[in-house]
Formats: sequence, structure tokens, C-alpha cells
Amino acid sequence: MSNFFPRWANWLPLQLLICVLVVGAPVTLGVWYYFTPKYTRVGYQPDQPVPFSHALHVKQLGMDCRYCHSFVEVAAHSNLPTTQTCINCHGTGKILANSPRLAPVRESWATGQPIPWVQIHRLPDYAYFNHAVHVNRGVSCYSCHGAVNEMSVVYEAQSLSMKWCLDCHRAPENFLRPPAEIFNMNWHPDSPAYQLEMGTKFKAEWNINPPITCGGCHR
Amino acid sequence: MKKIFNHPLRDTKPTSWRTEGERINSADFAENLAREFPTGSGHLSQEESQEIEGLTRRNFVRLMGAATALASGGLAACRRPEAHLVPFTKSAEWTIPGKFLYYASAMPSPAGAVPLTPARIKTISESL
Repeated sequence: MSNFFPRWANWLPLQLLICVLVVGAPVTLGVWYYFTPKYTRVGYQPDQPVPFSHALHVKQLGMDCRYCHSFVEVAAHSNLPTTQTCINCHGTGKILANSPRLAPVRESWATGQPIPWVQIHRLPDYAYFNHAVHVNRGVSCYSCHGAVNEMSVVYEAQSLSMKWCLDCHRAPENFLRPPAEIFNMNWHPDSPAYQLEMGTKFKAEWNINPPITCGGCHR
Repeated sequence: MKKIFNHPLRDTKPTSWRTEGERINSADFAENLAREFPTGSGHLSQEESQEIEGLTRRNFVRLMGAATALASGGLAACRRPEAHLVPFTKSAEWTIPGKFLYYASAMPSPAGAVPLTPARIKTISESL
């Protein structure tokens, strides 16, 4: 009985293994890196209908976050300002009343058509998030939205992935702030040791026990 | 030793047929068959058939394949879809986006007004 397979077939398993490794490893690494929110989300900076600059309003003029995002402390949803809020300062006869960059705001105010701001931070519908409960319990805007006071055009600074959420939920003492500094974008802890000491203290005193079960957010 | 099979000769009669006429190979069927698809009937005019003379079946598959590959793999869907946040133009009194708005009201009935505390649920001003 002659040999069914030629001699080179002895190497076939090894060749197949090498091929799988050579092809599979880059694919695995590629998916690992490119298919994560860290790559796909961070830095998302769409063009907005009005060139509103947080750097100008917050950093230079010192406005508080809550002047525009007024319900962040009382509602799950942190609202965008209405056109009326813009018009409070930019109305007829006030600041930059005739600026061409504010034309969409004036048009919205005149016609009643809202300004379609482009959403940047977007959580999936299956994840519940409550702004008020975070802000009232020592999580600063800065922790999730980054240094918005430095942004002339807002971009997504953090990945908002589930792992990123859980990093804080498992060890909130690394991020908690004194309640007075929640909306202070320029406040930073003096040292990691101080942050840990202060955070541990707040966590114990305020009985902060963030949910790390599935149902905590996917409810 | 290899076995030699002597297959029986294949029956030349058709094993499938469109009509009874084809089965028995009647004269009617032959006449109808000739009349059913007369050459050039309703397909292409002379000019059209000249135009696409170079379009063989293989060429056609080649072109269609290229078009499909461009359409699907041409990074057409790589942009993140834009979602919009649309706040009110004029601030609505007493409403907090995302919260119920409870207010006092009454429903008239023959016995008198029935007191109600209805909730306005749709207070989210910002749609996606």
C-alpha cells in the first residue's frame, strides 16, 4: 500500500500553527486596541452649530458650570442651556449682540427653533446614569468630562467604558472630592497620598457604597 | 483489482418535461416552442446589443464584484453617527429635564370636583 500523503505533509500541522499565530496575533491585538472605547470615543470632537468656547466662559470669565447646566444637581439628566440662557447675556443691546458667530442663537430665539447641539458624551440606553447622585456625593465634573475649562471646543476626554466606570465604583476614594470643590475645575489634590486619605475619610463619613453589581447600572 | 462496471445505456427519453407535448414530442409542441421565443423578441434592439457586446458574463461579474467591494469596504460607514441634543428655546417654568412634574388639579364630576395630583412625565426637553 503506497503512502497516501507526501513527505511534506509531515510539516503541515506546524505550518498551520505558525500561520494561525502569524495571522491571529495581529487580529487579536488589533481588536484589543482599536475596538475599545478608549480608541473609538476619546477625542471625539464634532463641530457644533455655535462655536461656544468653554475656555472663554469658564476659564476666562469664571462662570460656574451650573449657570447653564442648571439641573445637574437635582436630576439624572444634566441639561443643556436653553436658547433663553444664552440670550440672558447675548440678547439685544448686550454682550456681542451682533456677532456673526452668535447668529444661530439669535435665529433660534427669533424663530423658536432650538439649536441642535451635537451630542458628545453618549451612554448606551442599557446603562443608567444619574448626574445628580454623582455630583452631590463628591464626584467632580472633572472626573468624567476632563478639563472642560481648557476646551475651546468640547471633546470626549474619558472613554466612558464599563471598565472605566468600575475603576471608580470599586475604589471611589481615589476620586472623591470635598463638596465645595465639585464644580471647581481647577482644583486638584495636593498629592496622591492626600487624595487617598481625604477620599477614604469622605467614603466612610458619607457612607459611599457605589454599586458594583450588574443591576446597579443595567437596571 | 479495479472493478469494471457496465452501466446500462441511458434512456434518451427526457426525464423531465415542460408539457405533455414535449414528453411525447408532438408536432404542436415543436411549433409552439419555435414561436415562444422568436429571435430578438423584446430583448434588445440592434443598437443596444452592439453597445454591450464587450460585456461578457465574466466582465459583468468582475464589475459587480468591484462595485460591491467599494460600497461595503470603502469606509462608507466608519463615521460615528451624529446625535443631537435639542434643548428648549424658551425655558419652561417649573420643569426639570428628566423629572416628573407634579401639580395640583381637579376633575369635575356630578358630585363635585375630584382632586388630582397629575404628573407630567415628558419633561425631558432634550431628545436624541
